[in-house]
Amino acid sequence: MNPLQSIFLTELKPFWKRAGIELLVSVLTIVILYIGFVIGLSSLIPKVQTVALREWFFPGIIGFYAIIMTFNLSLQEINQLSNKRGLLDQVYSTPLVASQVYFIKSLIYLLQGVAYLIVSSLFLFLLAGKNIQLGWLILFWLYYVVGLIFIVQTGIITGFILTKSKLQHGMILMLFIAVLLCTGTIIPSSFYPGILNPIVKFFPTNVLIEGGRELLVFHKIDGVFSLYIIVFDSILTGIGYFIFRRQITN
Amino acid sequence: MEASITLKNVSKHFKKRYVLSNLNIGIEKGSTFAIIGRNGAGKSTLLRIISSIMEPDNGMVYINGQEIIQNAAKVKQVIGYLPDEDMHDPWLTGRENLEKRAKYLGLRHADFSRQVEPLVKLFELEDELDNYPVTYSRGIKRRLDIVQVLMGNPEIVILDEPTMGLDYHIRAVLLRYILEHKGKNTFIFSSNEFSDIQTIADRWIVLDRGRIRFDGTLENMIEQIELPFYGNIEFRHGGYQLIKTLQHVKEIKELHDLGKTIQIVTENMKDFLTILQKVNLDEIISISGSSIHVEEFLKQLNSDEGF
Repeated sequence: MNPLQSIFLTELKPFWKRAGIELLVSVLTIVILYIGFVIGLSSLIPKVQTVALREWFFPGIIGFYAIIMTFNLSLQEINQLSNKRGLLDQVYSTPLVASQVYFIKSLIYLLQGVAYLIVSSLFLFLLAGKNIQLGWLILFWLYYVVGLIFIVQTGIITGFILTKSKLQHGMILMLFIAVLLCTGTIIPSSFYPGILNPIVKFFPTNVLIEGGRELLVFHKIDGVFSLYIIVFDSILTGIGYFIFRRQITN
Repeated sequence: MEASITLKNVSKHFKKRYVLSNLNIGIEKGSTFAIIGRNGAGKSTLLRIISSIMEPDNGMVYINGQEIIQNAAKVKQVIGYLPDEDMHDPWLTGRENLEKRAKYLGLRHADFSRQVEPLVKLFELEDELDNYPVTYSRGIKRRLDIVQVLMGNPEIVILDEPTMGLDYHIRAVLLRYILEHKGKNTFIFSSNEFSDIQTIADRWIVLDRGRIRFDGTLENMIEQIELPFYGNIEFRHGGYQLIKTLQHVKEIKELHDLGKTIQIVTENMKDFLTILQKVNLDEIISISGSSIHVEEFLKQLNSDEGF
């Protein structure tokens, strides 16, 4: 095993220790979302556009859960690192330079976000008794892996900028509502009129959720959305690293 | 002697307040160098800069001739840094924390056993390693962090208040470790304990509001300034009887009742020894004394310089 692999495994250890609780929370959240949106709402609104509501909601529920959990996790972890400098010193007072520490930490948060994504997808499919089309599901996961990079970066940046826990909780709540109600989880962006339409359509979390739905429901890859996410990933990673470096060296 | 660490015109400020102001220091290879100062004097900031963790606003730092920002990865290979706060993951056991640190340092499994186990034994952590730090006392947490820093035998060891929270026995173990390794390793540490500094430091600086107010050895200090002697006498059942007896002794400048301990301030050590002759030794548990107190030293420096 090379040193980098071994560092990743050590960094993931605390996550594995909490895995039981995390799994329980994931399962319960998915059950609640499934009951509310798939069972409850589908008797009220059977179809969205041409698609059955339960089909429509699957990628939305998975995306919503993965986005919120990943954002929350990276924000909380960075907050802990900036509050307890010794925790960062344990890693940064080694031969690693700032960019390596940032890469490792970002990747660890991303891997944990991907774990939420996979667990929620599999459990939702299991709960609904839906057949899994593995090829499209893997493509959907890959699309989300790329997308969760900017979610991780947003969490890191927010964690450094908003140092007060009340503000952080407010931010998480705001994102929760925005992702659930305004960025494709429930209402398609095409339903928004006028100036709101392009704003909602190209809001990053909407790009992630609607792009994921294109893959999982319509079996189509949206090139513009994919490129948009890659560009957004790069910009936010640059900003995130700049802030991280400033924070740890000042 | 070859300089291991060189600081040239190093300054650092936080929110318009200078924490370090134009420092020039050279620290010799294999020496033990201490930094003393009151809270907020800039000790921790200086140690973080020397450790390559923090960057100065102005000036350059060289370690073994290499500028530290440009050569951070290389320079950090020779440094072990202990911050003045906890340096372990609360979600990992003591052993897992040591393994984590070892992986970041690139220690192989065989090296881990060879290097870390003797340190664990030395700092008496064997029985604690499989527990989580949340169950540790302050001192055990500090011992775990010290082992993390010393593993890999770094050439330059930087310790920020290393004896903070340590009991008398482990403090002696750490000081002995430093004494045994000086010459091969360079030690830089901050402390408010003058007894520690007197025991192990070859040279020390006194920092005051980011500036160096003294740089030299104990001998230089004594030559430079006449300092009063602080003697502490610890009694079995309190020393109030003695206070009554000593109240009018002319050699005594100040007398402080600290519960079971009485602190006697005299002009010099000779006067203190004279006073000791008047005390019933059967009632005494311990006697200690020092002529060096950072507060007194700074007060004297300030008055000499017209502050």
